[in-house]
Amino acid sequence: MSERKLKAWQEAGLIDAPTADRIRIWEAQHERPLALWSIVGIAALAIALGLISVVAANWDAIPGTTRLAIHLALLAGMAALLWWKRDAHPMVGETGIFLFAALGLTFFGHTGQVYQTSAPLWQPLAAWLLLFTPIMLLFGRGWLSATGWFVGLAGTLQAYADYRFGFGNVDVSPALWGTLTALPILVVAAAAAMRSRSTRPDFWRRLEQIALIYTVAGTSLLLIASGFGDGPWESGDGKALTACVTQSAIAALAAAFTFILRPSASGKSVALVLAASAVVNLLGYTLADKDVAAAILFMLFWLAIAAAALRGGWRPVFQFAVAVIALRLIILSFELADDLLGSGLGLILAGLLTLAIAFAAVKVSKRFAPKDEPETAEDKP
Amino acid sequence: MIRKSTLLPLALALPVLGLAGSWALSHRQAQQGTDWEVPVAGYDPRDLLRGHYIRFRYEWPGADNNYTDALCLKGKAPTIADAHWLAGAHDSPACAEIVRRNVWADWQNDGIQSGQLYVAQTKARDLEKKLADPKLKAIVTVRIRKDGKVTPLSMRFRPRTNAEIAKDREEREAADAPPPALIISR
Repeated sequence: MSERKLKAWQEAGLIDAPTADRIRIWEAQHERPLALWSIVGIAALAIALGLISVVAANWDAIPGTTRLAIHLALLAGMAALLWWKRDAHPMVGETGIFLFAALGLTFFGHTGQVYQTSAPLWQPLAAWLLLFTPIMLLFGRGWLSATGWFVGLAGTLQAYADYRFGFGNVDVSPALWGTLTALPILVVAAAAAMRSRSTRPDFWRRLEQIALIYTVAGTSLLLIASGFGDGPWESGDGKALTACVTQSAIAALAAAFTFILRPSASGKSVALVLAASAVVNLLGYTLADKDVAAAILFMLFWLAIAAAALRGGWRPVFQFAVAVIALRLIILSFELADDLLGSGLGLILAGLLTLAIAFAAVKVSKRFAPKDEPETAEDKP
Repeated sequence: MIRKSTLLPLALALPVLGLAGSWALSHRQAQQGTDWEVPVAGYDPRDLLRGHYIRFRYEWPGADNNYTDALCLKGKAPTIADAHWLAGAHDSPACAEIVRRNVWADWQNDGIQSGQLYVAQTKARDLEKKLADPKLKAIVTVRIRKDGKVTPLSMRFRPRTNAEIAKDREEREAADAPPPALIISR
C-alpha cells in the first residue's frame, strides 16, 4: 500500500484521518512479503528448470524402462494427489486433471519411442479417450478439461477418418466420413442437456461453447473453401452430397435436441446457430466455385449467429459476429475491385469502402449489442 | 447420483492401470521375435535425419527392388543367407522367417522397404556422417516378430568389401551417365 496515495486521498477529502489509520493498520496486518515470495518463486523456477534440463541432457542415458517407470510413477502420484486434494479449491482439481490427462497422452508417445513401435495416430488417441473420459467428464470443472476432452474426441474421429480413407478423402465412404466429422456437434446438445442437471454447470457450459465453436468454425471454413472451389465437394458425383447431407442431418439433430433439452432463451439461440449450420452446410454444396455467392452465404450465416446472439444476450458473440461480417465485406470489396486495383481509383474506392464498413460495424456493434448481464451460468451461450 | 468417494478413485485408477497395461503389452511384444542383421543405406543423402529418427532403406541380401508385401528370409539368425519376395499366399514353409509390410505406415517406415531408428541427439550427427561415408556399410539389427513385424534395434558399421565398392561405383556411374546430347536442327 502506498503511503503517498493514502495521503493524497486524505488531502482530497476522499477519506478521513481515522479511515486512513485503519487502512494502515489493516495493511500492516495483512502485509505479504512480496519481495521474499518472488525470490522464493524465482529460486523454485530455477530449480525446476535445472531439473528439467538435467533430465533432458541425460535423456538417452537413462534406460527406457526406467524412464517409463518414472513417467508411470508421476501419473500414479498425480492420481494420488488428486484424491488427496479432492476437497480443495475447484481450480486445483481442474488444473490437476488437465495435467494428469496431458501426462497420460505423452505416455503413449514415450512407449512408442522406447520400443520403436509405430501405430496409426487414431489408436493411441482412442485409447487415451477411453481411459481419460471418466475422470474428465465426471470431475472436470472448467474450460481446461472441457477443451482437452473435446479436442481429444474430435482429433480421434478425424485421425480415424484420415486413416481409413486418406486425408480429406470423402469418396470412399461418404456417409461414414460425414458422420465422423460431424459427430462432435452432438456434444453441443449433450452438454446443453447436462447444464441444468449437473452440479458442475460451468464445465458443461464450457463444453457446449467449445463444441459450438467447432461447429461454427467448421461450417465457416467449408464456406471459405467452397468459395475457392477447393471444398471437399469437388467431385460432383453425388458422393460428396451424401457426406454433406449426413453432416447437415447430424447438425439438425443436435439443433432439435438442444431446443428441447435446454428451453431457455440462450438454449434456443444455440439451437438456432446449429440449425443455421445445417442449412448453410447443405447450401454450400451447391455453391462450389461461385465465390460471390459463397461470400454472401458466409455473411448470411454470421448474420444468423449475430441474430442468435441478440436473442440469447451474448454481447461478445454479437460483437464478434459483426466484426466477422465486416471483415468478409472488406475482403469481398477487394475481391470485386480486382480489376480496378491496378488503378489508383480502384484502391481509393476499396479504401473508402473499408472505412465505411468499419465505421458502420462499430456503430452497429455499439447500438445493438445486448447489455452485458451479470454472469450467470444459465444465461451464457 | 453415485457418490464422489466411490467414483473418483475408480476414475483415477482407470488411466493409471490402463497405461500400465499398455506398457506391459508393448514390453512383452518387444521381447518376442528373432534378431537379424540387415545391411541398409540412406535413401535421401540430403535428409537422413528426421527429428530424432534416422531413416534408411533395407538392402535385403538377394532381394531385388520388385517389392511385394512379404519377404522370405533364409539363413540362421542373425545372418541372412538369402531373401526373396513372396507373392500371393505369403506363406512358405521353406522360409526361416517372413517379413511383412506394416500397412499402417507410409513407405518410409513400412518395415520392409524402409525403416527408421530413434537415435540420441548426441549420436545422431556421427551416425549421419558414417551413413554417408562411402567406405562404410551400415548394418541394422532388427527384431522380427512371428507376425512379421520388424522393429529396428540398433545400427552398426563395418568397412565396405571390395565387391560392394565396385557395385556402388557401377550404380553411381549408371546414375551419373550424361543425358543424351541435345540436338538442335533447323
